[in-house]
Formats: sequence, structure tokens, C-alpha cells
Amino acid sequence: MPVAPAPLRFAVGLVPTGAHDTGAPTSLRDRSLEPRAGVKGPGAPAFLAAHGIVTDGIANRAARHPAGGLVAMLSGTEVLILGAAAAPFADYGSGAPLAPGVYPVPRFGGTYWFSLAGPGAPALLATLCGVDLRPHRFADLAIAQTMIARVSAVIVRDDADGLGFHIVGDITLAPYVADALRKAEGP
Amino acid sequence: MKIMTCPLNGPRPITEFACGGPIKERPADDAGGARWAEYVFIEDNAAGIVLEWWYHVPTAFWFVAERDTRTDTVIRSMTVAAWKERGGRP
Repeated sequence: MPVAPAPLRFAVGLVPTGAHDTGAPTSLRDRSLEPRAGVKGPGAPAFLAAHGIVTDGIANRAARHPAGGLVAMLSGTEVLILGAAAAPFADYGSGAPLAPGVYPVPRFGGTYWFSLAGPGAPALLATLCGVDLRPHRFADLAIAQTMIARVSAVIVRDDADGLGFHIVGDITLAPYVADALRKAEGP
Repeated sequence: MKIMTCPLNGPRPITEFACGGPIKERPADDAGGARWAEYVFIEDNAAGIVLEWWYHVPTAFWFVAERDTRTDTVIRSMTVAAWKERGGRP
């Protein structure tokens, strides 16, 4: 497990980090200490392919990786990697180009990662987000780069363990977003 | 809720966007201070159909939209590449 940068430590612990409560209508979980990474630039697809991550270049679609986790295409040349598949890229925090036209995005230290699961998750998110995230409108592995509670966030639907969504956003907004999600959950 | 269609992300609440103003002919580098000041600071505020720069904030994505300022109706939106294919003019 990589050492968490100071801002990340600050944000972790806002919501439970354990497994989802499968019996609850919604279950919020903090996954900010799990690996994630970002790579962008015109050379990113070829760079990732050389590291075993083949992308189809379709923006706003994610794919499950055999090593575990998700590969989320934020644009044709930018990828967000969540979970075990991001582990090989965890050291890419210096900001230096990884190869010509390939740049790291400091997702591990720069973003929070919450996951929201359960049959009530779309209704909860509907109170905070203007995008229609109902299951029949927002397919498994679809991505919405949008706003939650008026601040930017990336939402990825992931039904690997039942209906669920990953929510990734700026680390400095983690306390605010966690509070908004908890309040939306209700008592 | 007012909805705008982003060429990359699809229909989204208008609060996710910022307007970059009308597309204008860029002066030549040596056009002089008065011409550049007009380009940077003076707007036509035209009543009619205009082409504008728009920005989708969560994705940092710039695109072009055609809007009728009389009705505040967005007629269409397009990527910068599509706008250039149409001639790339204001």
C-alpha cells in the first residue's frame, strides 16, 4: 500500500471504509486509500497498451480490468484507473512526462474516491446531481463527468457487486461531498 | 432546469457550463492597441443567432454553440473540430 500523502490522510475517515452494507437501501464507502491513477495526453492510449491496458478510445465509458478495478475513459486521450489495475502506476506522482505526449494525473493524492451502492443509490444521487443516473438511463460502466452538490465529480456506474457508483473528485472537496451524501442518505 | 447539450458529455444542466463569449475575428498581431482593446473588451451584444465559445466545467472541455440571443435558445453545439470543418468563422 503506498503511503498516503498528507491531504489524503486529511480526507480519509469521513465515511466508513469497510465493506458495503448489502442490506441497506444505500451504503456509502470511502475507498480513498485504494490505488488509483490517471494518465493523459496524445500518447496515452499507446503507453497504456504497452502496459497491458487496451482502451477503445470511447469517451465516458469504463471497462473492467482483469487485474481488478476499472479503466475509465474520460476522453479519447485521458484515462482514470480505479483499483488494483492502477497499482503499477502508483508511483507516477512527480508530474514529469511518462513518455513523449504522456502525462501523469495525480489521482491518488489529488482526489477522493467514494463508492455508493444499493438500490436506493440512484434516488439519493438524484437529489444532488442533475444527470439522470437511473439504471435504465445510465448503463453499467457509463461515466458522467458532472457536478454533485454543485461541485465537479466523476461518477462511474459499476454493478460488479450489485448496483453501485464510484464517485471521484477533488480531495479538498471530500469533506463537503461526504457531508452532502450523508445528509442525502437521511437519518 | 435549463439543459444544454455538450458535444462530449450529452445533455447537462446549464449550471455545468460557462460561456466564453461570442467567437470573434482575431486581429493581426500588429493591429495596434485600439483594435486589440476592442477585440478583448468590446462586445457586439448582437440580437440574433451568434456562435459562442462554451466550456463544460467538470471536463474542462471547450466547444462551440450556436445560440439565438433573442430567445436564449441553443440551436446546436459542436466540437471545435466540427466548427473548423464548417469554416471556423464567427
